[in-house]
Amino acid sequence: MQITIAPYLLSTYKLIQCAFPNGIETQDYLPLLALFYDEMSDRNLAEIVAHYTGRHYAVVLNDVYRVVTTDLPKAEAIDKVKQRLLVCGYEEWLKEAE
Amino acid sequence: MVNLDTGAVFAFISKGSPVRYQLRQYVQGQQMIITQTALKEVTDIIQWSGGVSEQTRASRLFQRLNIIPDNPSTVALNLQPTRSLGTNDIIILGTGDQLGIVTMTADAKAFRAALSQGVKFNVYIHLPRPLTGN
Repeated sequence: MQITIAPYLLSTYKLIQCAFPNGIETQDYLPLLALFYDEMSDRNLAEIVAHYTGRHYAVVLNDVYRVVTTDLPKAEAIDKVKQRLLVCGYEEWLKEAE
Repeated sequence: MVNLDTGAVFAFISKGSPVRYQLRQYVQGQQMIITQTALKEVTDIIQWSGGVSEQTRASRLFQRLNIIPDNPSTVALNLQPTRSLGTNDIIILGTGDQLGIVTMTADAKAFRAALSQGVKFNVYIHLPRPLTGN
C-alpha cells in the first residue's frame, strides 16, 4: 500500500522508520509520543505515528493528549526510545529549521 | 463568540476533566462555534475513544455549538505547514482568525509555530485532556 507523507513530515517518518524498522512495539508507543510531544503539533504527531503504526488517526490523537496528562510514561521508557532515535539522527532532526 | 478546537471539546466532555470548569467560565454567555474540520476530528475520536458519559456530555455540548464551514483567513492560508503547524491547525485557527474571534485550543505549539512565521492568532490556550473511555 502506498502512503503519502507530507514533505514537512518526511524527516520525522524516516527517523521513526530508522529507529523502529520492525514497527513500534507497545511498550515504546506512548513514550515515543511523549518524546515528540514538544517538537510537533498534536495533529502532525498523531498523523505520522498513525501512518507508521496503522492505528487510526483519531486514536493516536487522543493518545497524544494522554501522554501529557493521564498516562505519563516513565522517564526511563522515554529515554530508551530516545536512545534508539539518537542513533538515527535525532539531534539533527531537532535542529532542523522550522 | 469562541471557536472550539478539537482539544477544547475534549476538555469540556472528558470524564473528570480538571479544566472543564475553567473553560465553562470563559465561554459563559458567549456563542460557541466549531469548524467542520474540528467537528470531523471530534466525532471520529468520540466514536473510537469516547465512553458513555463522555458521549452524553458531547451530545449536550453539540446542541450549543454552531457548526461553520472551514474558511481560513488569507494570512492563515499563506502560512507554510511545518511539523509544528499542520494543515488542519491552519484551517481551524485560520477560520477563527477570519471571523476575528478567539480560538480555544490545547495546542500551544501550533500557535507558536504560526507566530514564528509572523502570524499571531487570537487564542485561549488550555491544558489538554484526553477522552477516558468512561
